Amino acid sequence: MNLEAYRKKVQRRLVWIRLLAVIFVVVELVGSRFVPDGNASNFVWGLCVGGGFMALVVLFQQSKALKDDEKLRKMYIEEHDERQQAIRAKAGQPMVIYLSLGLAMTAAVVFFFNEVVAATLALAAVAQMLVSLIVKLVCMKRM
Amino acid sequence: METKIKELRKQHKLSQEELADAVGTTRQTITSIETGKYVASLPLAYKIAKYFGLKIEDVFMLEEE
Repeated sequence: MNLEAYRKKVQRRLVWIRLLAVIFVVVELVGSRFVPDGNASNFVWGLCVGGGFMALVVLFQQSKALKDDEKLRKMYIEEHDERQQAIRAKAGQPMVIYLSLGLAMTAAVVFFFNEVVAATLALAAVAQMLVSLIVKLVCMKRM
Repeated sequence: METKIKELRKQHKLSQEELADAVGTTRQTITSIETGKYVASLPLAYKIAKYFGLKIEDVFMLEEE
C-alpha cells in the first residue's frame, strides 16, 4: 500500500471535483440570469443543484480523509478492495456513471430545442443508473 | 473453494476486522471468503497464508468435482 501516491491521487481528484463544482455554480448563475423560466431551465437548475451537492459531499469526505492518515488508509482499502472492484465491474462501473453523466448533460442542452428527446435522454440516464445499482446490490448479496 | 481462515482466526484469537486490516482488505471480503461466497485472488490468498505463516494450499483447499 503506497499511501503517499494515493494521497496525491486524491488531491488531484479534489482539484477536478472543485472545478466541477465551480462549473455547476457558474452554469446555474448564468442560466438563472439569462435563460427564461421553463422546463429547460428547471432541468438545468436541478442538474446543477444535484451535481453541486454531490460534489460538495465528496469534497467534504475526501478532504477530511486527507487530514487523517487512518481514514485515508480505510478509504484506500475500500477503493482497492478486490471484491468491491469485482462487484463494481459487474455493475458496469465506472462506465455507466460516465455514460449517465454524458446523457444528462446532453439532455440539459437538448432541452432548449426538443423537450421530448431531452426527457427521453434524462430517463435513459436514470434507468441505466438504476439498473447498475440493482446489479450492484444483487452482487453484494451474492458475493 | 474451502478455506481454513475461520479456524486459523480462532486459533490466533483474531477478529475478521483485524485480519482484514492486516492483509489490506475489508471485513466484508473476509466474511465472503470464509462463507465461500467469494474466491480470493492469488495475491490476497498469498497475503492471508503469509500472515498465518502457512502455504496457500494449507489455507485454501480446492473442492474436487
